Amino acid sequence: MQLGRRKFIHKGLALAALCTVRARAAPTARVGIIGGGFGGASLARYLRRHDSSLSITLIERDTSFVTCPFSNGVLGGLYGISHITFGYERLKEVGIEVIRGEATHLDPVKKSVVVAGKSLAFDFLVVAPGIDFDWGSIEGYSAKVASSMPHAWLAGAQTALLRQKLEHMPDGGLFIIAIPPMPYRCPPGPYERASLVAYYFKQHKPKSKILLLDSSDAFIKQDLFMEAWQRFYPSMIEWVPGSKSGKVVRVEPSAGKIFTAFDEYRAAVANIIPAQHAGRIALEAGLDAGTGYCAVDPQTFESHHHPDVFVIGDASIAGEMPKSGFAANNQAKACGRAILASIAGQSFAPAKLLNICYSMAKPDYAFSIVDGFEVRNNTIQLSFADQRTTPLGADANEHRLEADSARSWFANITTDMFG
Amino acid sequence: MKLQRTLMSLSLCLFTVVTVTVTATATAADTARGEALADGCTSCHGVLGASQGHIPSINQMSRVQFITALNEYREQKRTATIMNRIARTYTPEEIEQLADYFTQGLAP
Repeated sequence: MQLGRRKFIHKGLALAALCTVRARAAPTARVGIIGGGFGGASLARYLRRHDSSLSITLIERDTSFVTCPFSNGVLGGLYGISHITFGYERLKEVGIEVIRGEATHLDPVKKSVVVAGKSLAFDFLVVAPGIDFDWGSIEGYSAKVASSMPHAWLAGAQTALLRQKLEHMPDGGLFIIAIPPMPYRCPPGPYERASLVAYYFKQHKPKSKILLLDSSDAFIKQDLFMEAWQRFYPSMIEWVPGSKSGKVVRVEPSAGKIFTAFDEYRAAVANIIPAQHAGRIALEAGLDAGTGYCAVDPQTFESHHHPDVFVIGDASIAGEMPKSGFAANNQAKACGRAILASIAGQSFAPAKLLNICYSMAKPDYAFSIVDGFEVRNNTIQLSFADQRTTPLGADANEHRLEADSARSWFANITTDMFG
Repeated sequence: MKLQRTLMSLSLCLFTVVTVTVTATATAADTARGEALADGCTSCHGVLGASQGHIPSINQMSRVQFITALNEYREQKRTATIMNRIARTYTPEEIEQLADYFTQGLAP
């Protein structure tokens, strides 16, 4: 009886704890967010939707955000860059303080950030800077060289530049994409890029070729990409895996030359994507502990090294979750729940972690990978290893529906963040 | 034969109703858990389940419709482009909690 009663009370308390996640927080809590991309903007909106009194400050370097998802469509000429550019007006309207400026210093103990020489302190600090490049990973490549051999792996001016170069390229030219070693942002991105540029070439420059020089020996959705290339762009796209001297180690920008361990190529247009690590501010604050990416709690995304400092999105180590916009949005919500529960002094119901990623081979042909995750052994692991992707041999209608779904997803997730 | 089929579908129908009714009283904890689970759904289906474009909205369904659809996707009994793959990641209990959340029509 006694045990039963205690159990009952215990259960009641647990239920109360779950309920209070939705309760309004103390108005004094200050949340600072560095970076207004898929992680940071999603988190700011999520917190505001759940708590009207919370002080939320978003620190963002740029005046607008250009999404990496769908940026390959700009390169393929499907739409202009305005289609993937979003402003922060709506965030300001709902009472999120948006500070435009680069965070130059982060103190993870004091939870303070310096922007434009001014120090700002917070109760909770969320670091969502995305990725920065390891410029030294390819000899001869640098931020300066990126103006002649664009990476276009941070969407915006680089995307526009690469598109311009593709437009100016004569028919019959060779377009080379150098693919970095894992882990990097958006693992299927380079292959979708090849597909949509092939779509453009097929219409306007049909004698041109695309060469993928890869650091890896396999890639995500590989069979589906290969199937689509065979169907629509036979003999236009060639893929060289890392074990066949695919990895680019050096460039000579003045001559347009690209070198792997054993081979030399001359590209009409070169797209060099260097190796990556967490955004500079996270590294300088030591949140990565020297590893390049930041270890976090798999449910709350709180830093392993500093309480009340969180890292979400591409900068975090999220187990088997890839570095994607979808994942960052998902992690933002998980982190948001944890912060709201912490403010309320309660435990919380962990979020469901998912990643759904569409790749387009042409405007009416897409395929997807769907992953659910669960926390096992304190890391994020796949719930299912099988049947994650669109089946091979699916008919044209299936692929058209997936392309429609991809566009719908983009509209919905960007509305979640910016609308 | 026809009568048998009708009876069968009627009993199936009743079974569904009964199953759903038994667990129809959602506790606040169920709804909170449902909201936590729903955070994954809204990345595709839109804020509060209101979608733009091809992906359907999921905030206008009845509880029975919602649970039936998700369970059928989960058990690979309903064809879909991707929902049959996604639904595998939810247990039947979680599907009910999601239904509690999306069918109550609340907006924080």
